[in-house]
Amino acid sequence: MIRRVHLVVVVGLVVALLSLQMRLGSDRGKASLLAAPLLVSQIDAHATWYNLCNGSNGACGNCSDASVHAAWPHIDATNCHRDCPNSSVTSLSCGSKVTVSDLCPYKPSVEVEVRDCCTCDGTGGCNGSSRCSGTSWNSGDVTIDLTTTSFISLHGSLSDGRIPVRAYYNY
Amino acid sequence: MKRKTFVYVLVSILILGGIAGGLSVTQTYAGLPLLMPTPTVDAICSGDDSVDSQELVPPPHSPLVPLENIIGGTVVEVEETRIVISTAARGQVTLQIVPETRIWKGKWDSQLPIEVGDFLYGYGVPNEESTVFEMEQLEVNIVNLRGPVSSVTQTAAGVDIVLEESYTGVPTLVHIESDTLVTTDSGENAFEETPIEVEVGDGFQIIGLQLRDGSVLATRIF
Repeated sequence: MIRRVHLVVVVGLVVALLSLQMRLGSDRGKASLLAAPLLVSQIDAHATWYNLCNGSNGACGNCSDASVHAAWPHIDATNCHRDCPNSSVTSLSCGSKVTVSDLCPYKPSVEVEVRDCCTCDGTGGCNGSSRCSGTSWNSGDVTIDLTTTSFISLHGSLSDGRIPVRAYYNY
Repeated sequence: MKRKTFVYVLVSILILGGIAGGLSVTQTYAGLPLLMPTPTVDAICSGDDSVDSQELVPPPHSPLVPLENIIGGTVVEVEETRIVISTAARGQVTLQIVPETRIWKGKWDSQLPIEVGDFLYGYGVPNEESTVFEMEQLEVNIVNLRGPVSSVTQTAAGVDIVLEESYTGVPTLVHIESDTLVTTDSGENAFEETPIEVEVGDGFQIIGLQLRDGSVLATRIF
């Protein structure tokens, strides 16, 4: 009888210990998953602005100049990549979010929604490799074209035209 | 005796298995990520520019200008300290001009008048209904053109070019004058200090003031 009691007590302790360990591990796992870093692509380049979105147009549709929207040079779903063969960024889907930060000091930042694709005809739009007398004179390619609202929200003044940024995407 | 030994061995195996299992769960879900370094601002800003992908959390949304403060539209009425504009999203909106309002029309504080038909972008503090804004900044008739040059004409003031705008394909006459700022990798200087040779086929980005005849006075070129 005493042996059986001992056995029950020991097994009970083991079960309690296992439950405690699992609970501890589970809680720590949750906290860690919340704090775990995301896998984010990023590129340092230039941002500029445009004002052609009227609320219903754009390669993805519903692009609005009054919203924090943007044009991205590579959107496979809209065949934009055919116009930007040298784009250094990967394809995004319509509606993707991109966070754009002024470089440096790493802020301010705005999160914009991709609703359009840039034009890249070799000399303008998101290609942006300006040339003078046939020689490339500005190494900073434009990666993202912001609506006027996005650009003002990020930088304040449209008259600056083109600004160095870090773009975070694929998250 | 044998039975007692068997029970103790079984209990020991259960206890060790429980501890090992618990450690395994803890390490799998919590242990490794906690050991990863957290990126710092300094590390990000001083890093290699060519970095394409890292494990980072994007910075939080922290705009310089709040979205609700931004306004743009076409001028339909002008008074001394008050402008009414027509907007796509909010209908007619009144902009109050105060002494502190910064105005760009070709350049900052150019003193060029704002006229009916002008289009503008800016930001200020809206009232509760967002029908009246006390403006902090306005940029009037500003355009941004990108594309290849299709013709070049030397003028007394500088050079006139026709730019085939990349998005629209519309050719636009652009006047580059002596005080137009030219941005290159080595810096930014006035056109008269950095005369550049413009040829058909060159690509430019032009920030400028749209004039009444539809041509553009370039203020900054890239």
